[in-house]
Amino acid sequence: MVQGFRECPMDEKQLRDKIKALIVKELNLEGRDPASIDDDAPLFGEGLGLDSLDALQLAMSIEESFGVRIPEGEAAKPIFRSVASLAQHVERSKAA
Amino acid sequence: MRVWITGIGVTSALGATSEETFARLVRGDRGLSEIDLFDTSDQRARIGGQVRGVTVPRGYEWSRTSAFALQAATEALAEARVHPNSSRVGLVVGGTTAGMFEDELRVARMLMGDEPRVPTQEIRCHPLSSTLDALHAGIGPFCRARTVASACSSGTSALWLALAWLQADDSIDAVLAGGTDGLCRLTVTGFNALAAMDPEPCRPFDRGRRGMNLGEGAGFLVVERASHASKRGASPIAELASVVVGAEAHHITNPEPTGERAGRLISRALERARVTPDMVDYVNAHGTATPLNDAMESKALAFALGSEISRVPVSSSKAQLGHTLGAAGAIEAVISALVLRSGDLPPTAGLVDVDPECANLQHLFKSKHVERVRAVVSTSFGFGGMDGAVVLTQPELVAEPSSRVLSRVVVTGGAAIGPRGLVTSREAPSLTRGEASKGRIADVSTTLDPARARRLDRAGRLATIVAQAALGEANAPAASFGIVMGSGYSAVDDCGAFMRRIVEKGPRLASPAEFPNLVPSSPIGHASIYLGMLGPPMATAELQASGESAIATAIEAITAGEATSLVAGACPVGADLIDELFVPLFADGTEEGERAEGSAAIVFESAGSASERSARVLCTVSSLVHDPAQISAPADKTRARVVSRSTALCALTGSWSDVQAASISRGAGDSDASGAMAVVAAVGMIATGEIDEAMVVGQRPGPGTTPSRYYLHLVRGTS
Repeated sequence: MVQGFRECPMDEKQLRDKIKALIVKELNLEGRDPASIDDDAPLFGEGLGLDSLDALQLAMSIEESFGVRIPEGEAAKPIFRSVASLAQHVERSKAA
Repeated sequence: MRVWITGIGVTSALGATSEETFARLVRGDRGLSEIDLFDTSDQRARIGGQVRGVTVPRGYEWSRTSAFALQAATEALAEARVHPNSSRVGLVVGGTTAGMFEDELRVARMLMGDEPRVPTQEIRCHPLSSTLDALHAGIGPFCRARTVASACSSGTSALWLALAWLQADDSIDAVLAGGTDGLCRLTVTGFNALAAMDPEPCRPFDRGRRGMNLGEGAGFLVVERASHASKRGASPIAELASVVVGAEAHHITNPEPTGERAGRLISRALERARVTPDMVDYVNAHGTATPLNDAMESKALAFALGSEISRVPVSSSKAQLGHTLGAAGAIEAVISALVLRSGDLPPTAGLVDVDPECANLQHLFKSKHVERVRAVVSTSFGFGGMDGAVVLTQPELVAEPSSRVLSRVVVTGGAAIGPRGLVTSREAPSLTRGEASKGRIADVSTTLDPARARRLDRAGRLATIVAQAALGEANAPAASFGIVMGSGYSAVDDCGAFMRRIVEKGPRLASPAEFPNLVPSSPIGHASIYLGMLGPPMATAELQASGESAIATAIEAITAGEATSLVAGACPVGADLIDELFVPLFADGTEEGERAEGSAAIVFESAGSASERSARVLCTVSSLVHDPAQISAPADKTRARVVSRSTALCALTGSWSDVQAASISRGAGDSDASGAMAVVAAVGMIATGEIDEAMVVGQRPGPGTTPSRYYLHLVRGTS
């Protein structure tokens, strides 16, 4: 199957949508449609333009919403790369 | 004019006096221990510089924060041999927490419905201005008193205003200025949420530094004109050569990473002190041990000191005292003064492996004694990009500056917002007329760009909206301006909500993004960042007269030449908690309208700056006094107006008592911004030609004899 056309399983898409909604709400991205956030687009710097304070807020709200912890410091960087990587971390942590 | 430091006092985790604190700093002692003032078992970092053994005086106005201030201020006055009873002594208190420790759980419980929401006396120590009230009652009377907050540079801002008072007002003999802050659950949890705390003893400038340790305490200094000190036979500890405060306009928590903004500010402080980098023999750095601060500060110091950076010893005292927040700038100014007196340079404790990013500094791994220290720089950097630099020297190190010139202050713009909407000063006379407003402002997004304003809380939005509109009316370049805004109770409702979340969900789920908004100066930080304002940023707090206190601060600073261009006003948010708890508790008989949310800002400039940029002057500040007898009767009573927040105050006006009066409470309702709205309305009446001059009256419910009334005389034209 061609990678780009792979359909997400329903619960994975739901999880990503939930994370997108969380990003818009927690970071006050007023007027931004959660659906317009690309799964793989970088969240920080160039992409959504978020910064370290947003990362902390997002980490706290993900812990609150999904009951999973996000490690601090360097280990958090690959997790915060995109919505997809965040979703992957949540799934793995829940499965563990 | 020379200004000498003739008295100093410190209360810290290392000691009950400045001598003891300094001796132990030089010895390398660290005052860090497990914080046991409250339960920290769920906190990631639990150690700090907790002060032990200080007794809090009895009385509802007292908090631990105020008790620290009392001890340090008493020491400073005793050393200076200055007595507020026999001299005219002013008081400036910097700080951020006041009675937060005493009241934070109570407010959370009230929000949770576990405790009745009634105006109990036990919350009297909650407002930021409560320390000023307590000191006034304890060791006053003070001839003028002010509370300032600029996050972690609050103590420096207090010194800045003290200098302005001494420059501008010969009737003040000396100023007792300093900062005080106490540990509380809110700050410990907040800085933990920001991952800004090291669970271990911190390591400023170290490669492995992981954040700061919090501390608490107070530092106070008695500053006076050298001529006054000499006359009474007092000897100087050091000369206070300059204090410069300014904004980075960059980010609410992170410093501007190149250090250029901070570096330029330090350079300006050296220039104002007429001290060249080759005369600087020690720097007491802010050095919090957060990764971002120490890297930025190393660059900023290199920017300001140039090639001398490789010679000048630098240390941070925070690994020994903890970061004492609003007290830090004042405590470190005291340390700097003692370095000048003793030649003993304290070390940076905990520093072993210097971070390559900080390797340009001459670090003091151990204390060192030198023969003579000529000049010292002390830096402070706070949330919202609120920077301060103090330069202290040996007495008479540099030639005395030529005689000072006081600046005339003019008004070039103004704006106010209330439930009826946003008005500029020309439309503002309407604030005193029509059907009285009540309730909240419906739209706090108007005129703001949603993407850039996303971090702004309600108070930040109000401050930004009115500052932007006022600067717009003045056609003024924001970058040249500072901003001083008052608020009686800051974000008390949001502090309560933050604490409630901690109580209900635990400290791990405290909101990192919310915490910076709870600092009293946060709305000013937000406005300076949004609008790109680089001048002095600070909050004032004086209950109902918070707007007046901000306006007085701006006028005094510009008159003295400590600033040229300032937006000043008030940005208190409407909150049920304030209306239910504090308004009844601190009522002073001037309440007559409905509670209505409101904010206001006025553009003040020195006549010189206004003329340089060909600004249109709306009116001139003729005088700002505490006694209406000092304002001459109006030239034509029919072309004059008394304006105040309350008709009760309009009657207290001496030779103006039969002049027609207008009050804000009748039009725009009652809020802590009413006094600032009265100024905007008066400016508008003059600007539109309705009148030629106005007297604006403000008052706070003081602890007794503080002259807490303000009389501002505004006149048409530029003379």
